[in-house]
Amino acid sequence: MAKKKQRSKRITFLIYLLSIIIVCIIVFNIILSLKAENIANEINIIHNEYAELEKELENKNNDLTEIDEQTKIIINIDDNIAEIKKEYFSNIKTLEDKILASESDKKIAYLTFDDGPYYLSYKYLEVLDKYDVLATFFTIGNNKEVCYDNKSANCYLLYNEEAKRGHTMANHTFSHGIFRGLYSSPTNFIEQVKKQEELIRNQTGVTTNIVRFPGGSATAGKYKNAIIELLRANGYGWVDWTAATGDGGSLASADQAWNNFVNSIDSNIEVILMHDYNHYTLEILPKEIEYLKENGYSLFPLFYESNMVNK
Amino acid sequence: MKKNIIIILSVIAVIFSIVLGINYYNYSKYNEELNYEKDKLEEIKNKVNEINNNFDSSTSNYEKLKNDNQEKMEEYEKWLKRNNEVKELLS
Ligand SMILES: [Zn+2]
Repeated sequence: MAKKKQRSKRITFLIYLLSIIIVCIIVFNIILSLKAENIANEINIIHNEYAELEKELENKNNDLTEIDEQTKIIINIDDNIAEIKKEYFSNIKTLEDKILASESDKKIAYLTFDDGPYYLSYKYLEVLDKYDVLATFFTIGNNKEVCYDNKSANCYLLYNEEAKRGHTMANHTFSHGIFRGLYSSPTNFIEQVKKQEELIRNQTGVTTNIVRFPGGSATAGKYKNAIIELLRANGYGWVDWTAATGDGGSLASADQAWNNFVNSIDSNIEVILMHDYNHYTLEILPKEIEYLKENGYSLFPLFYESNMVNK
Repeated sequence: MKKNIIIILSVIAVIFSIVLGINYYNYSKYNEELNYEKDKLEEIKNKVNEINNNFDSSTSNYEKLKNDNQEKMEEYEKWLKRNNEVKELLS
């Protein structure tokens, strides 16, 4: 009997023990689950933080690449300017080709100014700056140390003023000596071209290979073809004009210059001849630019590859 | 009767122990993952710091170059603008 009682006691004890063990296991389970959940949350937070940092890293990387590219542009700034100018002119050439093939209804006008620089050229530059327009200056060199229209000013300084704005520096011979033997022989002409090329290079650092005959190519008379041959052999291109204000002759008024100008604008690509010593042309220049723009013309500086430059 | 209870309780204890084992296994796996993620986070934090430093030095270098070449940069930007205008005429 006592043995049976003792056995029963042991069994009861075992039951208690098992129950306690089970409770302990359950508690452990709960603690572990909670801890695991905490860790899972923590991992989640880290994941989010990681994703944010990853995004930040990517953005910063992109910014850094951008900065590095910009830095490269600055380091090679001269090459990059030359490159973008080349692309600019090449695009204008493509536009010209399209216009000439009637594949584009766009129009182009090249403003060109001969015989300068003069002191008045500063005023011309002001107008061009105001309209953000680039033009072409067919310069000469004879007696330009002193401005013809302002004896106290040095007109050599103007070459660089024109060039640094991005206008095309072009060659109108050094002497412009139509009545002083310029056209007496092709070699004489080329000499004057080379002399002016040298002057432009010394004043601006720019080497130009675009030439305009003083008085126009017809003025060269019997030597015209021989000169053209020689120009070509020396790598020069030459250009006359398709429109003008008539300011090379005797203009009586700004109205007359305006009428000459308007009456001569009749094609999709115009090379407009003007002289930057003329007050009447200066007076109508803003109106000219507005007129051309209103009539769909884009205004560009000339370049060697242009269809308008004969080679 | 009591014997049966013991058997049931034993079975329950075994089952719970198995569950505990599984939970512990998961817990240690999570712990491992947490450490791994922490290391990864530390790594990317270092990377971000490094790139921030690079970025700062690149930016100051860029700003200095930009200031030194301001005129040329303005000229470059002008040509870029002009070129874009011609491109627009072509399209
Ligand atoms: Zn002339």
